[in-house]
Amino acid sequence: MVTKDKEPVIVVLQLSGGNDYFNTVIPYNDSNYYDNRRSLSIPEAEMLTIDAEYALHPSMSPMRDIYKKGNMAIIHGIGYANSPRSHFRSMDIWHTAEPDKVGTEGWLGRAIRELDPESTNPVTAVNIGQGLPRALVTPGVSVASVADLSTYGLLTSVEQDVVREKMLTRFSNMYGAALGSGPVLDYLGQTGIDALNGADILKVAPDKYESNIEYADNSIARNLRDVSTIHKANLGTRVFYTQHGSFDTHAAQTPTHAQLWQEVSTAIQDFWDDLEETGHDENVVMFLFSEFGRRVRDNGSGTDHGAAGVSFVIGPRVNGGMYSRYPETRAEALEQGDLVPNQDFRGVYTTLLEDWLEVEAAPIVNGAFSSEKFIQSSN
Amino acid sequence: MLTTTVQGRTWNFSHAIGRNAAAGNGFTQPMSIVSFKDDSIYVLSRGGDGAGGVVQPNKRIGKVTIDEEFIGDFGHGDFTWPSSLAVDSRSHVYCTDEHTNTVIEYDPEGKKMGEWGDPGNKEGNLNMPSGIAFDSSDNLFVVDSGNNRIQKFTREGEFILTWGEAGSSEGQFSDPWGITVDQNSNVYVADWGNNRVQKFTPEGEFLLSYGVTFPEDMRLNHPSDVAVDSEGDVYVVDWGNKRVQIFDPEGEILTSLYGDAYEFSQWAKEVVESNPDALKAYRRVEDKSSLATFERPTSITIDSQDRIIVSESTRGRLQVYAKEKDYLDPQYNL
Amino acid sequence: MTVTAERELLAHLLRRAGFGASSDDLDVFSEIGYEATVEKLINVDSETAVDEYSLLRRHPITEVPGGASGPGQANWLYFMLNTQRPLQEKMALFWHHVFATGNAKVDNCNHLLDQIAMFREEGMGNYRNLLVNLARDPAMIFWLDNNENHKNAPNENWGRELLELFSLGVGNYTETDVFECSRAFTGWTIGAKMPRYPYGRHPWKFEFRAEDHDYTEKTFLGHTGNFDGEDIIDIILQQDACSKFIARHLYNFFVEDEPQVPAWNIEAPKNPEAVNQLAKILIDSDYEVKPALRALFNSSFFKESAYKRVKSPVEVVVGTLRLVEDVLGPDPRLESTAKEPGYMGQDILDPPSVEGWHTGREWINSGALVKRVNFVSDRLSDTALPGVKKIISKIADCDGTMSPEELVEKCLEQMGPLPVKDKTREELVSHANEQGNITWDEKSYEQSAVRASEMLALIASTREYQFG
Repeated sequence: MVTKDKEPVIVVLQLSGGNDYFNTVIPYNDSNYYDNRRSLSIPEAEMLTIDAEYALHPSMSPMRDIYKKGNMAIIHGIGYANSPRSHFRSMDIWHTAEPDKVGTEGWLGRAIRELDPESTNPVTAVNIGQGLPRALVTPGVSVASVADLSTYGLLTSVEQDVVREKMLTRFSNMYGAALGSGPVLDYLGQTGIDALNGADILKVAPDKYESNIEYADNSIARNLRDVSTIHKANLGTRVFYTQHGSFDTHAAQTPTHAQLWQEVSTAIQDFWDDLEETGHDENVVMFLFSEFGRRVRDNGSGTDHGAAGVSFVIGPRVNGGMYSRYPETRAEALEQGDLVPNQDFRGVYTTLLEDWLEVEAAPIVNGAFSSEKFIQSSN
Repeated sequence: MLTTTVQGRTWNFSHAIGRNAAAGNGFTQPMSIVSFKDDSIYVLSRGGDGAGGVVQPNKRIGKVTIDEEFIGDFGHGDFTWPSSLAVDSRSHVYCTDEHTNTVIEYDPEGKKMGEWGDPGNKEGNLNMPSGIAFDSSDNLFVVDSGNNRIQKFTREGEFILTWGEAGSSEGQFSDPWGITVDQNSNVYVADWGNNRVQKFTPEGEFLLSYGVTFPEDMRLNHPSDVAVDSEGDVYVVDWGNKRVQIFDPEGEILTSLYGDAYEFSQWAKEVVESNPDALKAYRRVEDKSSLATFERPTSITIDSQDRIIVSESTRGRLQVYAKEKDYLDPQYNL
Repeated sequence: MTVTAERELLAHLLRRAGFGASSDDLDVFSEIGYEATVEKLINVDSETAVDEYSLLRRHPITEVPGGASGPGQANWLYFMLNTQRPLQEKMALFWHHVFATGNAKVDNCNHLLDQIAMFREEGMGNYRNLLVNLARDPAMIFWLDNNENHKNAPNENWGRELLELFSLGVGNYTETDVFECSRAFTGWTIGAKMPRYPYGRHPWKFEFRAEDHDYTEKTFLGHTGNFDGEDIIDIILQQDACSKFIARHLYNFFVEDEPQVPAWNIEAPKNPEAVNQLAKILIDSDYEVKPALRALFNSSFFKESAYKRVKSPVEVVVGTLRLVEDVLGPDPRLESTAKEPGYMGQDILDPPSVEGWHTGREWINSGALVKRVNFVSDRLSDTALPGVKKIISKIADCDGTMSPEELVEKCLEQMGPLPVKDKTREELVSHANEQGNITWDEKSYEQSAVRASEMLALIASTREYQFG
């Protein structure tokens, strides 16, 4: 297996459920904010000011620190035209980069096919979570999906390790044998060996892992620790994917949204500290997105599905700062009560693909799109 | 019909309470409601089971006033399949869990005081405990649905008596659900699988069956709950037919309620007002009857002023009716 | 036919026309024989329907599941796990493969459940009827944009897929036919629907809007007239290609993996004779589905097809749970279990596109294989599950001691019966050999049960077991 230390790595963190942009990056001088957020506006004393116009949600102080260090890009008004305001359709659009028809290939799956065209490494892409997000699903592309790194593998329910090891040896012998009865059996044989190898490769990561960081006890912290564990083991993984939620705050948004961002921003801080500690941060970029933002006006205790949202890109090679612009908030400028996107998400994908992963973006995102350059040039 | 009138009785639709919401001022598949002396209502949100292994925050007991003020909620993480609520004379709230086979007790502020119940089919054991109701001496009747019987306990969980077995004859049950106790201490059970309500003496002697001898379109289909008002009229939540059937004390059918919530509740209004496209969408629809009608009514409670409150699991809503006594028919030549 | 051969054949039939059979089930069906079993499967009314009320009472969230597909998947899984009419659910799954409609766009899982209920009711009836129902199905109309198909601005999405994926296949119509077909369905739409806020989902209803229907003349597949949607369907049914297309779908689903549907106009069917035979039966019966199913299950090509198909994730999950008797009836784990087929690549009610799932070897990749193997072996190695207890008691039924070879044979018998290649058998026997003979007296029963369950888990991990 070929492993290179410094190939660019992307970590995608999906904020599932539709993160409330208006209360994440707050235009605190804007009276429309207070007029529309009668029940949910955040007191100015609590919000975390980052410049003369904008403040972050009070739970995001670790991310404010990263921003102040210059390692975080805030991409305003991200989305696409005619938001369907449906989680499932919208997530599908973000995953397949196909707003106008039902797409069948995930954008990251396509990128992985470019990064590892011969599928030589079963862990080129790793999803931390159950199942596979459509962003990673592309025919012919194999992605390891790890619900929990500490128990990943085959025949995990066999309690005695000795017995399990023996059974895995049998598995390997059975799948490795040429059964000589057709291409499907042969293909299955190869796939079984790949699965076993993938599990074997990943198995070494926790043993090699060293860190002084104490992650919190919640799912996003555990997932990012698993990402760090695999990344630090230098297994050649280029794409990591994980998600946290639910940001679908129709009701009781104030406590829920605060807790979510507390968990996410703390986990992000621990993750970067962890990477930095051992010098594994230089070749990593983290991308946060959500399928849409939420309604400008609150519904009494929460907010409903909206359109434009905000993305964050984090890493030492990111040009920190603000990109695109905050959509207009006055009533006449809204569409169906929503902020109107002014940065196509496929433009941001394009920058991530071309300037970071160094693969041609147009065939992956289905066309020519662009965004401002939030990645430092490689020279 | 916002006003339903028969034989000297009238039910006026009053208002709706709540909205579909997974937290705070709304409900998620409300399965049980119980009114409570100071104009409050406890609402049990059954919620979904989700991915498993994690506490589902949408399973909870909410406390609201009849004027739609949200007081708070409690019980998060305490139960798997919460099924039914009852309140004793000290204003303690009891909740059955039909998966863990327990009865959980809370003080009036929602602090968990304890729980009791052992799984099984022996005397005093529970198997999917469903509806519960207190009598005037704070004894708790529990519908032991999986064992097809009714059991009476002290509020501490000491077994007193039991009756019933599986079957469809008088005094037998098929997966029974809701229960109530009237002012004369008689017990009514929604015998869900047998499409009837049975009335018993406090000791379990069979008295009467409701809903079995009517013409087909008036028969009960899997009734889920029952309540009795101060005049002895009996209200049955006809779960399978999505209506409430009203009977007189002798068991004759009076009329049916089908739900009348054309107007939004206060909390619902806030949602609609913050979603301009939703408002437009409502205006586009000519026939709004599916907004108003009961969508899977689950439980019923009647407060001290004879206000009738019905929960609907699919809509996350309660509908409130007021009963007018000694009503005179209006002049019809309008 | 020997008793063993007949039993193997019945097991094959019940895997394909249902979700597998336990050893006890096979005893019952052996009594009545193969042909009577086929009749029993086809005449669904001989068994009671699933008690949906018990599902809705204990799982109220599954009644109108709204946007999230999870509770909707739980609803359908409940039917598949508990049905006494397995072919009825299998046919609903078949039509879901053919008329693939996905919640990722529809975002109204309750309407997908309505569509599945329609497949359940009509899926073994008449194909023409199904197509007409499908053209009026709100989920389908929204999925393929027929609500955007207007007199003055036809949208071809539904019209095209009706011909390409639902009835004829590529190469059997022209672009003009697509356009004319689409025009005939203008005005077939869904009425305005109340929004999900603030009380959850309200129903969509089919609506025919005469003012938006194109009443002018159309020329479709050589016929000219003032056609509407039903006329178009009638013309489609007259095409030779139509009966063959559906016959090939039946063959692919029930008999043997064909290439993926888009390749069908390039690659000939694996067994053209079988497809032609089924196609003729469809035509002779005016597209009644049951006669074709009866002929299929009684044919020699079907009987010779055991273990020629890769099991779909739904077959893996449902077949395993029915075998081990877990998560049957209302259960707090129902919703989470309904996600399992998705982890293996088959998110029911949410196929990746209108083309449906790619089947056969495309079910398998390393991630999906890990999930498949672990799902089955986790359950078969749980000796507390009632179905596993039964299996082990059958294995233990001997004079008291058995050889490693015998253990392997008996386990394979309970797992299918599953034929394995010599090399596989060799490994299984070697594994059993490590702890020597296996004793089933009272003292060692529990320990032997664990050994047997490990053997079951190892068999579940074999390549052979991925076929069904």
